[in-house]
Amino acid sequence: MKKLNINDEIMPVQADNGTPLLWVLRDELNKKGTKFGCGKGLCGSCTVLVDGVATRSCVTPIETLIDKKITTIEGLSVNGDHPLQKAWKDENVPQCGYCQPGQIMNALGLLKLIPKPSKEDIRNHMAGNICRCGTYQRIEKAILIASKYL
Amino acid sequence: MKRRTLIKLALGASATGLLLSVAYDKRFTIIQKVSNYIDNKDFDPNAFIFIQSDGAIKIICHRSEMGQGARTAIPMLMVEELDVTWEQVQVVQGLGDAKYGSQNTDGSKSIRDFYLPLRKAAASAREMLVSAAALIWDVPDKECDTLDGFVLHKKTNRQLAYGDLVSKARQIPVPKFPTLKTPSEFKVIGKPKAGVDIAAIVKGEAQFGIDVTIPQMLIASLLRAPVPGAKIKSIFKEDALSTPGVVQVIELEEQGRSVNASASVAVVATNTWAAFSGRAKLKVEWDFLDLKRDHSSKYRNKLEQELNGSQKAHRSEGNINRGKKKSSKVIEASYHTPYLVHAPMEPLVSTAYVKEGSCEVWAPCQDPQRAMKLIAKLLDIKIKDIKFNVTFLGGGFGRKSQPDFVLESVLLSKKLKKPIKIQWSREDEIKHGFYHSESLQKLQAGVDETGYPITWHHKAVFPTILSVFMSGATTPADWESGMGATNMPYRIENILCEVGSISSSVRIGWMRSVCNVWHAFAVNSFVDELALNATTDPIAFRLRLLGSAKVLDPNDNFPQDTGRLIKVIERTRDEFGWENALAIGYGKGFASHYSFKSYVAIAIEVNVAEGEISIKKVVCTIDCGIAVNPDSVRAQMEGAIVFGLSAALYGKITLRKGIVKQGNFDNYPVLRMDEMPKVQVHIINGNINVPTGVGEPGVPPVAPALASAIYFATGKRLRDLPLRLS
Ligand code: FES
Ligand code: FES
Repeated sequence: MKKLNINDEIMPVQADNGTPLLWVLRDELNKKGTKFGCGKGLCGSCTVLVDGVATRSCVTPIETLIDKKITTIEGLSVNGDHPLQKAWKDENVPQCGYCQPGQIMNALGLLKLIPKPSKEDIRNHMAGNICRCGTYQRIEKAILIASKYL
Repeated sequence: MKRRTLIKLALGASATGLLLSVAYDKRFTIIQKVSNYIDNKDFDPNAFIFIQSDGAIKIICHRSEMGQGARTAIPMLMVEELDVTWEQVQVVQGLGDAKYGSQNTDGSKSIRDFYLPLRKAAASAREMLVSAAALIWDVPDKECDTLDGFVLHKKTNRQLAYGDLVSKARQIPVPKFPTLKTPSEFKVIGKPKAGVDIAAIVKGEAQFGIDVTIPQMLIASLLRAPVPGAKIKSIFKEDALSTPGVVQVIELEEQGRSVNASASVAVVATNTWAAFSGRAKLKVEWDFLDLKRDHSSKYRNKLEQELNGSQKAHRSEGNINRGKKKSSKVIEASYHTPYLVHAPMEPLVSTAYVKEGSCEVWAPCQDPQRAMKLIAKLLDIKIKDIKFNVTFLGGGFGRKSQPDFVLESVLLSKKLKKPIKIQWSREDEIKHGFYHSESLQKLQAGVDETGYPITWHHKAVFPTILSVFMSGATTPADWESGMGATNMPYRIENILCEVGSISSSVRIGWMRSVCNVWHAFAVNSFVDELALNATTDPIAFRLRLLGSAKVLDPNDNFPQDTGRLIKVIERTRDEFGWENALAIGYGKGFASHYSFKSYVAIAIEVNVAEGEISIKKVVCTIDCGIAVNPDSVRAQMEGAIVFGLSAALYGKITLRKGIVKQGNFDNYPVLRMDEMPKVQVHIINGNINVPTGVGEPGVPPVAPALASAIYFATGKRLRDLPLRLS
């Protein structure tokens, strides 16, 4: 049986090799923080980290993930006190909230690449994640704040 | 479990006052009934506030949360009047139930309609707790006070927690005329408050419709008729059925008017990916009968024809023909806007479990009561046998007030006798929408030698929203024109606003700000063109057209007050720095609009370089009466600006033989973060007693302000949306 390393836990998985990680997380492993928005790698709602790199789980078949380290929103912190989550709360970022786990995970990917990003870095990196509610301005600010604490 | 829910209070509202309408009367009877039974320990939990003997307080939010902040602002009203702290309060989402009054979360009215009733409900509860304590202490009520969940008797330095008073308070009659706090006493209303669900959201724990899981549940993906009304001719299901995880392929009949769900074939599977994979292999042949199937390239001509055909007048003052004769010049322009789709981040999804004689639903639904009525009809059961759980909505924008996606899940669960979740893909959502109407408008003004309009003739043609309720409806209702056309505020002697008739082969729906979006685009753009003709600054020209402050429709419960409009215009002008000179390639544009009883003005700065439009700055002012939660008002304006810019720059749904061509964010793009301008929001509390709409009114002024900024920068007047320079 296949095994995936998710948030430092080794989890057996039954789904076929070609199944996108998104649906394995959501339907098989009951980790529902990772969201479905487009299924085509266009919106970023499904973003997780794979070996520290922000990755669209809706277009990533699990066969490519054996022996890799996957981090989902559930693995970010136990109490919701990761600097990104704190900044998100301080800036009151979410509206409907649906895109926000993906936004936070993509922001985490950015901070792993560029620990002290400029506004331009943030805008370019985060352009892959759509927020239909339009919380972009607050996301930009929250990432700047979080980067100071990381 | 110990019986702990003791006080079950209903609205103590009297059926008087500005805000009460028919719906309130109905609710008032329910309240009366509840107060009759207030001694009966066994009556069903009712209404909005529950205080437990351990001091925990549950506050019901009966309106759907889709990002607009209802679950924070509605409890704020009650926390204020109840005099409790947030730590004591848990916000509970109300089930679909007529006892709450209207739960139809649209029209930007959750706060507008419930501001007084919910405060009165909480104030009644507070007064009952005070009376209970006064009885125990044997002192007059008026010697007692409340603070943070306690009743205090300052004279004797005694206090009792609300939780300790519940059994006594239950016996106190519900006061008919509870005393409300005055605005100067507010501790909660008017102060920024972070969303009550934010901790759950940032941990990925908030439960949206897509996150619902029921034991034994199967998941289905539907292949729907590509054009509403098409019938299934034949189904080739073998490939779908042989997909691992797929358990069944089954036909779903079309559900007619009101539900408006197309015929479809469901691929039912044990998990979502299997359902999607099976559905990708399903082939269905459709019979299009003699359905009318619009073609976008031809529809524009049809709109044009109808615009020149016979019209129905929705506002007529003076005589435009006579006025035109007196004019020194006649100016005319036409504006076109396309179909749009909602594209909330969470695609549609609904879970239903139909059992013998009952049904339970879990759905991200804006209007649970409407869905329940239709479910009762479909299943031939009573509304009371339906349990409707409203989940978080991952965006709604009007799409999730349509019942089609809920009814599909109910129908499928009925057929399979199992809990069923129907999961829409993004393509499903974009191709099977209830679209924001395409429109064509012509404005014509006869102006005097100073450029001031003597006549104003506004003609509009667009498929009416009535068509989803009445088959064959082709002429818009006057309230559709009332969203931005007939209620335009300028002082002009001769006015004629007319609508033409046209049908559409797609379903028409409400989308954030509805008809206001295209009306505001045409009216503001045209005023800009008139200002140009008069060689007057567009803001100065608007102020001239408004003249001195005036209440336009004094018989309305929320009359339009041009004095408040003038204030948001002036504030925006000043905060933007309208007088400042701009570099070459830069432009500034302005628009203002009254909708959902609120006043909004927006100024935009753009840069256009090599045909690329880049939006630098947006300044916005809203007067929404009183901002109950100012931070949420700000967020809604920021969001409305993004929503408006997406429509202005990109939004366009087109049809080929009635079939929607777009399908995902690649060909239906929306604004992304790298294009996000700097947004500044200013709030004016223009009437502290009457909160008005917030979710929608920010959208309409965005596109016209942008179009006029582009004109400023390039000299090109764009009269079609989306705004394209080439
Ligand atoms: S759902 Fe994966 S990018 Fe949109
Ligand atoms: S918060 Fe609703 S989509 Fe981003």
